[in-house]
Amino acid sequence: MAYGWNRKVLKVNLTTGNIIIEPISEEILKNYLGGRGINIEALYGTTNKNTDPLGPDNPLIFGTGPLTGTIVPSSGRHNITAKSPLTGILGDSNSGGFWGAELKQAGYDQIIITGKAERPVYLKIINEKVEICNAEHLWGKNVWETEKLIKEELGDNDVQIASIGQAGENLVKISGIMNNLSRAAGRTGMGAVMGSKKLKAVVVRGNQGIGVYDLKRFSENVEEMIKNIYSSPYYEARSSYGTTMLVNLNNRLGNLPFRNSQGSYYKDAEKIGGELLYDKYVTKSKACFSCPVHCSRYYKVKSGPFAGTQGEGPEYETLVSFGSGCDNSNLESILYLNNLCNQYGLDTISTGGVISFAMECYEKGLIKKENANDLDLSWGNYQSIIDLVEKISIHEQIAQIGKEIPQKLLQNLGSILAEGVKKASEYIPNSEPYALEIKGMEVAAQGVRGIKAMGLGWAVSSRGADHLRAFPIAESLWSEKDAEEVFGTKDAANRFAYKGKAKLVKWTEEFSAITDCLEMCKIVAMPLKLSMSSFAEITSALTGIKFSEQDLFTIGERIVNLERIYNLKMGLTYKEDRIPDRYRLEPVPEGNSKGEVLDLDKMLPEYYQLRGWNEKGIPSSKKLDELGLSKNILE
Amino acid sequence: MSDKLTIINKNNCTGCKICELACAFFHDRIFNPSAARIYVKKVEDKGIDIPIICRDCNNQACKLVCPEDAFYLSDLGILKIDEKKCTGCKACISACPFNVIKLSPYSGKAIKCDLCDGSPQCVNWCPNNVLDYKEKAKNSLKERFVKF
Repeated sequence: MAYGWNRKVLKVNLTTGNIIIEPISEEILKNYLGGRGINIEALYGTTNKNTDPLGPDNPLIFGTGPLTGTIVPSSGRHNITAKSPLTGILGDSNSGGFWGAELKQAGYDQIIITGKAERPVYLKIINEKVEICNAEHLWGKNVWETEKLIKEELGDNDVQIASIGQAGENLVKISGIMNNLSRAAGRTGMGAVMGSKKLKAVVVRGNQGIGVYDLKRFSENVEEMIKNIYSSPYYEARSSYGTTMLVNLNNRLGNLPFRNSQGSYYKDAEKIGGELLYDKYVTKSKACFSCPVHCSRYYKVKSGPFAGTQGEGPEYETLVSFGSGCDNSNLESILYLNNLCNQYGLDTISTGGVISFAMECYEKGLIKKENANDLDLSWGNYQSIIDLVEKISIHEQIAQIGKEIPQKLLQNLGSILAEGVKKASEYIPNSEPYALEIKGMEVAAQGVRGIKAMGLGWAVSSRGADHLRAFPIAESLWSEKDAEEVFGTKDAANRFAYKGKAKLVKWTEEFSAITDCLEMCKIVAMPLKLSMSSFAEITSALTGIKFSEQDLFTIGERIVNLERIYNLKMGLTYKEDRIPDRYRLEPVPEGNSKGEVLDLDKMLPEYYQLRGWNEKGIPSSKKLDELGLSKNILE
Repeated sequence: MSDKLTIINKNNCTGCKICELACAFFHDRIFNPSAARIYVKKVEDKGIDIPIICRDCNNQACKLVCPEDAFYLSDLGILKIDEKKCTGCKACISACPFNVIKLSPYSGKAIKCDLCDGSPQCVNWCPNNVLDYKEKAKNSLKERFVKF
């Protein structure tokens, strides 16, 4: 019986049609746990600086964790990893839903897909039966149509499907891989990697079961964890509003991005906030597999121009990227845009990011209507946002044509934005200051001038600008007493302070790495304050392999370091541990973070030092030795 | 018949499938939704989740069609299947109007809800009070003639 892990990886080469199943060694599982950890372990040795992210050699890796598929709260997640076509460094994205749990039931922990199919295909995995199936009839269909057609074709409503929409097919660099219609592994362009392989979907179904090594210890600890979840002061709000509660909260703190982060306060925040969404449009709560927090919501728009719009979500990030970020206070349009992105298979964070960039370029006169697909890109013009999302998805495959965009395409703003904001800014003269990205990925929806640790977390994140690598929300949520105990200073719980933030970010990066490996939801684990010791107890009881709290922190540190070396190998330097000038030089104009800027120099050197990295952000050989990574020392 | 019954407030269901996990784990000590005696039907494009479980019918089609006479009334007042008598012929599966009987992937015998020895795990674990297990009202005509 499988205790936690299945200890199996499925390897599929789409060029040759070769399908093999291999064991995953206990050593790898002990050192990397699962999900994000076993994925970077697999990616590290198989790609190099010259690997084309959209070429056949780039592996597309799906990973689950030991807890995935069990009753451990919020553990039904999966991680998708490849070299990113958006950034050229680590591509890595994590999704909830039901797909990961089903892959575990089918008998695998991981799938590694290489090569490129000649014609569109989908991969069908039903227990040990694995087939590469024709998907020519699905190519060109959106995600929602694809899921429906596959379920009909297989006559099974319960198959789980990870698929791409037109955006992934068209190699849009900000496309994701979707499951359960509205769940996204959105970040770092994994959809384009899948599209480059002509792989439309990965369909899974299984009934192998996941066993437990120590029933009593496991049950006791899971019940304790559930008790902690239900008794958390944040349970009620999280289980009603989910992340959307953050719109009004962040606005009160002066941390809500407004007009491409020109500001951090939005006077119309209530019009796009979670409370209004809940009262007016939400019909019921929705959950991912095995999650008692059910932070997602199903919504219906009953009247007006968007009548008939219904779907799941949206998350806080989506409300900001298409809402306050674009100065758009029309909530119904955001709900429509959420569906549109889920159907095309686009990352809502990056898509809103490139559009708010375009709107600022329009405001500054850098883009004219005639080379913006004839769209009026004035702030808040939601019809133009909708049109632009469609143009982005249709993307005229610049990547296939070559590195330079042909002149005729310069008229097509959608195709330029489909390359991501960094590349887009290269094609729009003088637009670079408005391209908010780090390491090539669009920033997420935090006002980092007023939350310093989050800013540091963005800057050092191994996948480019992103809130979820560190996710240091302790600086806003924890008590001073708790902060002092764990981080040695109560300033760690003061969002404006710099002191203690390097330590906080290191700690949360390791914590987040572990949730991404076990495949628990950090949106549950962090705000509801689940403990690393509880993860250790549960994982040990489940798998029969002993993990202490410290073991897990060490694994987290190992993963952060391996991802770092991987990125250095891809050509990244410490100069990319930065934040866009806007956050550094332009003080917040109004709201409760007024006057704040983010000074990375007050945290970054200490962060490097705590990590055991030199002043150029390179891990010392001592640190690598300590983590058992010596073989990976940079040449 | 049982005075208690699992009943369903289906509009509260978030579709998390914790009930399926808890059910399978109680009976087989394994996390395997396909071995669960409760099933959450999902219609994703409409946002619908409906838990489906034995209705404990008055007119017991499953019992009537069983060629081995394997069904018997348990102390809890719900029909159970005698594993020793069941041959896995699937007659009850075909007859059940609610499609809540299946073959166990482990024993190959028919399985259905047995109220977990009086403490239904689906009820205990459900985060949203979708399922309940309590005294039933006995007064209404409907209650007397149509269960659930």
